[in-house]
Amino acid sequence: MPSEADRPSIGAIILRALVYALAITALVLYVPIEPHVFIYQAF
Amino acid sequence: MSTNRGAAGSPLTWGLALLFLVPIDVAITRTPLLWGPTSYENTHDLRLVQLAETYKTARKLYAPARPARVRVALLGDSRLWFAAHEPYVERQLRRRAPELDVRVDTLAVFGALIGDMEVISRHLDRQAPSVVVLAIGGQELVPTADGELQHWPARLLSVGWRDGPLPPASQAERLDRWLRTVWPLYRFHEFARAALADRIFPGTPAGRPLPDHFSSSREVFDYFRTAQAPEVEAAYRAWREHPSLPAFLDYVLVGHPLLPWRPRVAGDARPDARALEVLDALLGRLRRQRTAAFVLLLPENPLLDLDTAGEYHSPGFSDRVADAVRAVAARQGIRVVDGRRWMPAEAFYDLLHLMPDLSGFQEPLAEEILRALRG
Repeated sequence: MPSEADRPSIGAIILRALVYALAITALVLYVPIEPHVFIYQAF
Repeated sequence: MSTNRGAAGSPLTWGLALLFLVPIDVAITRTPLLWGPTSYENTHDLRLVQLAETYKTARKLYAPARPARVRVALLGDSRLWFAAHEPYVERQLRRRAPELDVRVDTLAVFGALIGDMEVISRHLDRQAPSVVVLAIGGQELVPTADGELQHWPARLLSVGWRDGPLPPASQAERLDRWLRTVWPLYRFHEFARAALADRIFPGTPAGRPLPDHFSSSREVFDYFRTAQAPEVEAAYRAWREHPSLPAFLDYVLVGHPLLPWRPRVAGDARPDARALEVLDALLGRLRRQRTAAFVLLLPENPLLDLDTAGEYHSPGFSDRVADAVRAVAARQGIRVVDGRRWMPAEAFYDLLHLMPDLSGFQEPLAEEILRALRG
């Protein structure tokens, strides 16, 4: 059983959760889109 | 340290992180951060134009300009983009039915194939359109040189729990589609990345939107050809004075080493069997949604009749497409409007595309839309 002192504070949990959410968002947005040239084939 | 470690792995932390993702998602995907004007969306650069038009199509579906009691969705490729810009069609609809509170969404992407249109149609229920017009010219039903029946729009807007008529090539593609279905930020992550980057480091505006009104061919050439406009206008006048296929080709070829925008399909091409299955799935969706819908066979340049040798088009392809489309549409109980002979040669900008606004294509189109609305 973790002692009272070892239990994470609610502030630490919220802060960590916010960091995770922002990191996931950044990761999703990081994936770049590469310009392709196949559009020429479409005409 | 032990407290931080405890927070890092706690299910509560991960649960809260997922909760935090919701407002972050909303702050991006439901605001001008994603859907506001960008510097790149009016590009005519062929390497990027399909991406730009797909982005604008998504904006029309997810962040429409204004509410309206009657909503008309037009699905098609560049031929529709040239001919059926929203203001042209809306003006014509209001002229014929002044009481109508109508909004037209032209969901037209350059080079869109039938697979792209089918994927775009998966998003139509967002706006619950009163009328859907599927504009078909024939080329959408033939694979491109890479063997594909879909490109960027299908890839970027792919949603749905079940596989579509063109199944994913891999489990990763299927997973990508599921993620796009359930998570809006992931659905639009390519667009969001580009839009956010543009907000932080605005680029030089590339091009300008298609004008809401053209009053002369010279204005059209000024828009599309800028510095070459006087030369193009002179060649255009020359063909109007001496109408012939060679004179028209001389006009279209001004400033181009090769004929631009020529019909892609050649020889004895015919609609692809898989493409007709995709068309069937698309029309089946419209039927199930009980949307007033019709397929429009797009106007064809009558000058191509003079190309009996098939140098610039595939003789007979148009009729093969019409027959195949009619058969599929009849199976789904959807009306087909044959607009192939609606427009004279002088209404065309090139062998494929109509003159925006000046062609008058919006007039018979508006009439057919009103007919569909009245049931």
